[in-house]
Amino acid sequence: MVKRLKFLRLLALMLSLPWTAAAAQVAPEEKLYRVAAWSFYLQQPTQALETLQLGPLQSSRSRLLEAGLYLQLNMPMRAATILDELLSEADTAPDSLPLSLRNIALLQFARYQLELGNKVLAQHYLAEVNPESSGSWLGQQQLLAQLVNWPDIELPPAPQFDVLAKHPEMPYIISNQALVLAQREQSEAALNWLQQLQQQLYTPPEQGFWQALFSGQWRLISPQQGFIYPAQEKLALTDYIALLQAKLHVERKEYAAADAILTDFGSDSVLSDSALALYSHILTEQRHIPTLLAVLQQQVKRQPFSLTAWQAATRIGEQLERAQQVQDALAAFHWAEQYYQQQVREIEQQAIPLQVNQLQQGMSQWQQLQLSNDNSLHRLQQDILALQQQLAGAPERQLRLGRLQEVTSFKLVQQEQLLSSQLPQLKQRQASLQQQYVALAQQIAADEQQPMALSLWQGEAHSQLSRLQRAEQRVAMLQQHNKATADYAARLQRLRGILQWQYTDSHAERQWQRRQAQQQLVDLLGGLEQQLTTLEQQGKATPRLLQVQQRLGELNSQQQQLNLALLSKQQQLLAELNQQLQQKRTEQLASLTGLIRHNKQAMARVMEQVLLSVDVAPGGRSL
Amino acid sequence: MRVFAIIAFALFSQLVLAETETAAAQLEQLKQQVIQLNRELFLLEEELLFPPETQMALFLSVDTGKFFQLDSVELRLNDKLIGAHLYTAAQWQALTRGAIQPLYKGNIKAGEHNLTAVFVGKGPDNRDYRRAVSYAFTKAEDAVLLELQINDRSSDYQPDFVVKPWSND
Repeated sequence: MVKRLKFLRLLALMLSLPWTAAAAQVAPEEKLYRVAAWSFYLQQPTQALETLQLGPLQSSRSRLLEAGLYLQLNMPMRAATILDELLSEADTAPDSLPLSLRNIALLQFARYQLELGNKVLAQHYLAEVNPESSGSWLGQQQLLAQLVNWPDIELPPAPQFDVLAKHPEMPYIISNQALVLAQREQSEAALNWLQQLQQQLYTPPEQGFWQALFSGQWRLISPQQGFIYPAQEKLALTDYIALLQAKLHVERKEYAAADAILTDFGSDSVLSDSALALYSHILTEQRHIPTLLAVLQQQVKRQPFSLTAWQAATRIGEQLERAQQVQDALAAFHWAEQYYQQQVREIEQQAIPLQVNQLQQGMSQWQQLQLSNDNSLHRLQQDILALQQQLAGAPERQLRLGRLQEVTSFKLVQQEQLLSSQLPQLKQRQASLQQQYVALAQQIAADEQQPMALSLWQGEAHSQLSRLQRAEQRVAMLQQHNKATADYAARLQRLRGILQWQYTDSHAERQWQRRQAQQQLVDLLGGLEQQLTTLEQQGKATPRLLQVQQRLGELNSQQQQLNLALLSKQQQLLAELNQQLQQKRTEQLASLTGLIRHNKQAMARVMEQVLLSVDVAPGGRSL
Repeated sequence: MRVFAIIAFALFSQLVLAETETAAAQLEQLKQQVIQLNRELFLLEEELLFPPETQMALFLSVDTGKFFQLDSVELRLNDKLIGAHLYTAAQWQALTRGAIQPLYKGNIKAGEHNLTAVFVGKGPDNRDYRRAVSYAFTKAEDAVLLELQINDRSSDYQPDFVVKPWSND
């Protein structure tokens, strides 16, 4: 049974499908959604989630992205909660998900549940997919249905190449159907389906453009129909179909046909190990001893620490024994004995408890093989590494916390200074300025009542009036001493008249200028007051800063506890991993012990034959 | 110290182990706690390091990127360089798919300011293209959030560069 993974592609589609052209006026939630998309596209799901959750998530699209991001962070339970809420909303709701998007989400989530081993949940979500509108996701849906319901899958009367032509899942679906056909004892039909599938996948060797042009076939050049697979995937697919065919031929005891397929099987194929195992079986059945020996040796070489290789080792001797080559068989059993001892030594050396830092790099070959061949061990490894990733973020979180605590303390000191000294001083100065202004305004108002107040003059006119007043005072003094001042007084009177006329003439303009200057002063004083109010407002931030300081303290201890919890969980999982590895070690050593015993018995048997043959041989030496 | 740590660790381990939840649920809960902690830290950082009274944040978005492909952007505030960004293919692709890039975040004084963004890239017909756009604004009590938009102008098949303020709602 075959399955394929396409998480990120699906999630990206989920994200990009509902895009309409960037609207000029975008709502705040839309902005956050698009900023989150930036982090998502740059493979930063944690940051994307953080951005998305900054605002209230109301639209179904944002919530769907949130669920997708939780999935990407391997948090299926949170994703399930959100998805269930979303799916429970009526289709007619104004903000309900478009049907196509809903189907994609369901397919992705069903796939994820299946990979977690939750078949029931996977079936539940898959059943929610609307088959009528699955359209371009038909291939995904059919393949997933096969994986979920295996082996009770639907079988059409004939392979549906036309329906699935544009779906990359087509070969997987058809080959799975062929497998089920074979299981239902219709191996001939299965072989037929596989052959048809092989033909579908076959593409004639590409002809160069010039070659086609000069051979007169350029009219036939046309783009390839259907889905075009990447070269490596196509090769693996072709190999997989060939291997299936060979297996079916073996089941039907058509060894020659299976042999013909496997002889040409590529040694660099990803399926070469399975092919070797099948080939050795065929060769055993057909008694092609020399080729079989070569195949068994290949198995031993290519599959270290595997039961297949261990069995192959003893089978070499057995095949030689079967071929009556007792001396060679004895040598082969001796070699197998040494090989087993060597494998036991290597397992004992390599199967040591793992540390966290060895999980990414630094594992022995045996450990690597166990982790890549066992799903549960692999999951444990991934969980431990995920926890390590969370723990690796701890120093940065601590740094951020420290910086924030520093900033809060600094701000509190600032507040203290502001409240205790700066603000009262500033308020005092502002009050004094205000008082001065009021006094000046009163003075101006009083002076304006006078016919020609000196204070309301300025520039040359001010100095002329001052001089006139001084001259008038001097004339008055002269008059007191009975001097003749009538002429001066008359002249001064004329001058005063002229100045009076100038004063009256420019009065309106000067009054306007004064009012303007006064207004500017009022504005400046108003601005000053506003600034002081702002400062006072900031002064009120102290309780909030104290709250923040307290919260930071709480977060600090929360962070310590979280780190401990992460570490504890990691150690727990590591212990579990090591325990399972030890169990594997014990099982494998038991298998090897069994094989050693079996090999020893075979060796004894062959040795007996050798001795007997020496005994009975004419002129032979007796022991 | 080490003994204390081990005892504390052991006590905590017992606490954790005492929970009857499955390992997967426990793992997910721990991850959720980390996410919550990070989010709270982010919000406090916003409040303390970039309060609205001084905050200025710049974002960048692209319409469809038909007439212009962005290579870099340079940001100047009152003729002083405050930031620059060089775009990778993945980042450009993210922008053309509708993402908004958080380009800059900083603190500025209250009053009049002038922002200039210089866009460098490839214009129509794959020609080198360099355009600057200026935007004058007044910083008051609210945070200043500005979006630099690169739009496609179909009337003359040229890119259009706009600075658009975000409302603080």
